[in-house]
Amino acid sequence: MRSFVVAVVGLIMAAGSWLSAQPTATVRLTGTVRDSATSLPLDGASVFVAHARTGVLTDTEGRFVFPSLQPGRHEVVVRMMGYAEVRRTIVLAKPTQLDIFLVQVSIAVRGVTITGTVDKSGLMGSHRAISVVGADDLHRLSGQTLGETLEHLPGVTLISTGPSIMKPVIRGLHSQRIVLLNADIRQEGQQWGAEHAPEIDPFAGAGIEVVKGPASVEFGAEAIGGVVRIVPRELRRTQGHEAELHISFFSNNAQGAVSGWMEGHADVLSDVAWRLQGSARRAGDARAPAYGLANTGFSEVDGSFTIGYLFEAGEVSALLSRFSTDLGIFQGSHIGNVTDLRRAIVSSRPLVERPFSYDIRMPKQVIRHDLVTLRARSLIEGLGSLDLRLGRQENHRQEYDALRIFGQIQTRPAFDLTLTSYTADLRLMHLPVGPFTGTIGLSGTRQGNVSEGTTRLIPNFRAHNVGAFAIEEWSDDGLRVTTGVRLDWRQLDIYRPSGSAVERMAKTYANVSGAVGVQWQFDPTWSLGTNIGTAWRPPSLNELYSDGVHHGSAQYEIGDPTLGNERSGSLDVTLRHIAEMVHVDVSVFVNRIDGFIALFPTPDPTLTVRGAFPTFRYRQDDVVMHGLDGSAEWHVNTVLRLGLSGSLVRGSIVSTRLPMLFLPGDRARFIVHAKLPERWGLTGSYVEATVIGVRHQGRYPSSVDYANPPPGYVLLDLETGTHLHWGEQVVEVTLSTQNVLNTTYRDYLSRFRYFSDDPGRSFVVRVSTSWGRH
Amino acid sequence: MRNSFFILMTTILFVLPACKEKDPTAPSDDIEHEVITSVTLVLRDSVTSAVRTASWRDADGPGGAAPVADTLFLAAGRTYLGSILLLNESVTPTDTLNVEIEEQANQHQFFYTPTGGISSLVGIERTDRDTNTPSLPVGLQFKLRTSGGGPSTGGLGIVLSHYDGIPKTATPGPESDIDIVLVTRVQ
Repeated sequence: MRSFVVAVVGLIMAAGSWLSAQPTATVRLTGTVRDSATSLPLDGASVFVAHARTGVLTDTEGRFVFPSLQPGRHEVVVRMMGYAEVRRTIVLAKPTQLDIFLVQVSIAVRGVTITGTVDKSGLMGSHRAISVVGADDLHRLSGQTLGETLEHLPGVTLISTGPSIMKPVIRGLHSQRIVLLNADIRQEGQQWGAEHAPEIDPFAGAGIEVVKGPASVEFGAEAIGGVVRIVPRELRRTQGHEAELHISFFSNNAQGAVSGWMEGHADVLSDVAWRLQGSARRAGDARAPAYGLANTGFSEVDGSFTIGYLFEAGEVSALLSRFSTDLGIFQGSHIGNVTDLRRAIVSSRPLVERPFSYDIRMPKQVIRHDLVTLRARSLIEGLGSLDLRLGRQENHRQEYDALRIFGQIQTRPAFDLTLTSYTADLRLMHLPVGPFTGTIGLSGTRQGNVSEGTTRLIPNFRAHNVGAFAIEEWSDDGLRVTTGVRLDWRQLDIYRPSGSAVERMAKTYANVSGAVGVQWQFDPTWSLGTNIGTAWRPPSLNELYSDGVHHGSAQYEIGDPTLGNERSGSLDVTLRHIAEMVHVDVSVFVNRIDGFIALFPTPDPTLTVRGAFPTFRYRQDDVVMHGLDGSAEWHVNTVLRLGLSGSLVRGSIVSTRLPMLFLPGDRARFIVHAKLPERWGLTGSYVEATVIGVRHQGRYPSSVDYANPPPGYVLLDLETGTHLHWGEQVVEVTLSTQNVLNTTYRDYLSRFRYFSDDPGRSFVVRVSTSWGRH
Repeated sequence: MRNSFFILMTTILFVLPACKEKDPTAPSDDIEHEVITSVTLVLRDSVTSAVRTASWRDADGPGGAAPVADTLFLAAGRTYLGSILLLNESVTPTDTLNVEIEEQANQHQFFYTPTGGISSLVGIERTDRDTNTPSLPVGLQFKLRTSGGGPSTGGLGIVLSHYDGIPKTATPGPESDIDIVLVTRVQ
């Protein structure tokens, strides 16, 4: 098979070099110009591209477009009355988005900052290891889960529970060690469970940003492993309407998906803008190469509505959103005890099979997440920009176990957890004070968790969190130093029935996080970012209080109410190079976590009527993790692009030097992308081949897991896409095949690797179009 | 217009905290404990009609106190008519679960496996059948024969297999409702 891969890659490269004989294409440069203090767009700023001797004025939304510039180095000059002039050298190799912030002359001390969180080139200015999924990438991934949309980023892997439940793993850490931000509000669900996928529609925003490594100063204690942020799309500031629609179909599980949004700046109520967004997905049983995976279908419906009043100095907006899904859990993973599990591992096929069906039977998860936010942002004279966000979210998770006692159907879910959270965040981006700019913030959360199922894996609780932080930045020519500190306090009250009374236990956790970042742009095309930080995390509820059999993994898990905080110290260094033909982004990191909470086996099994279950207790140990992740892109010529990305993570327990359990295997991704010439009225056509290689995880503690890590694997994906034109209407179509060779494999972080292979080949068709776009 | 917008916003602001919220301070104790708390073998000597019993009990369900089990004593060279009794003693009155197994006989099957020192001394034949075609054993009733020899000690493995959504076969299914071992002595 390997020779086949080589042949395919060779063929594409040959095609690419032939095509490169075509005339040189031009590159489109777009961008916005905004006020640095208020982030408001600046109308009428002049933007010159010095070398090309061409210039434009920004429109009312602060936007500018240069449709066709020669690839290469350009100096961009931006001028506007009352603002400091900005000169920026950029290297154009592909369509680029440039967001420029101008500083008012009166407060100008440091020239300009280039940001643009959804734009890769903007990352040049970050001291952090950040990866992004931009709007274009999102189009090409439509119909998939949040986890899958992040999987191709270096340093990000997936922990999956069958084909429908995927969670992102950032540098080996996941679940309660990662913070998810949706609509810039911290997502509060039952994050602790490896089989609890994020209750977020990845297509709700303008892109997705992943901070690799601790980011606790801005986002709170749980961000010890990283942050996934759905970058919200700003409300429309000019009159008119715009809409986008994406439809996709996946052959493997006969999944259909549709996602779209509409937005407008109302004509009736001037200054009022709105946005309506929704996604729906429906899938049947997935298929591994050799057999079907019974009961792995799902259905999902998500929607959100945003309305805002925009005024000169800011905005007030409200968002209502709902995420709801029914997820089937693979029936072959449904076991009663260890003997059953061993029998399933030994069997070459799942012990339960059924013909393809869209039916979602037990075991299953029924999840709903509702979010309401209210946001107010305003420029305060002489102070800065003040941003207030209030949120209420209700996470309702029901897990139905198929464990029927003598055939009595369990009508009540095994878990029925309702978590209600109120959050308030207040941030002030203050005007420069001396050489410093920065943000100070306060945040508060109040939560209540109610557990109503037939089992009590986690108890009822009420939690109050208060946090305060300050981040200040000092910059000089090419050098930027950011430093931040945060204080967090958490009060946890646990309520458990004790006879006819209620037993209440109170716990308080408080601690400090801090970080220093240095970003050094030592050359126009090179930058070096370093981040040193310390973060902490209080133990989560399951780590404190679980006491029961974890079905599916057939282990008895016991929490420890005396567990203390985790404390990390981390260092990461990121080197970036963005030149005409080459983009490189490589990070190395080391992260020591003292008191890392994990399950450890105990010598005595727990005896039950279903047999003896190996017993694990949550325990704390000091661990050290280190690794490397990065990506490189080489534009061989205007047609052919080669890409390589990869991630490595190592982790071990300090005292015993034993490797940590369930760290992802080393992986690399090789991409060959070739643009196709315009033909038959089709534009923007391309072909792309991706080879994903995952190495066998050879580092694992022996005799802890039921089955050793599976062998490594290599997968091939192929994709082609084009733009069709019907008058003004442009329709983007992509055809792709995932796992082209229908390779049989099991990933180490697939929680169902005991029971079944991972899904096989899938043909995917995606169609998208937009209206009202200029 | 602007005023009405602000009124809307203010309303949302005040309605937000007023939304109904479940009260976590009054936890319900509505937990369904593992239903089987005791498994008892009742063996009647086919000649003397003397009855021997042996029980396996886990009164507080999984976790907590460990289960306790009797040793099953059998005489050599006998035939016993056996039955198995499943109880849920965590509810009042005690729930006899044999009824459910009888009703769901086509999806359940007991497997009895003598192990260790008694593996060659004890033979078990399940005597009740379900209504599947072809009919398969259920195992609530059985005949247990001991050969001469001994004394010897071993284990009697008892597994209740549940065939949920798949056809029942002569071999154990993918899900076990019971999986215990009784220490057994033939003397």
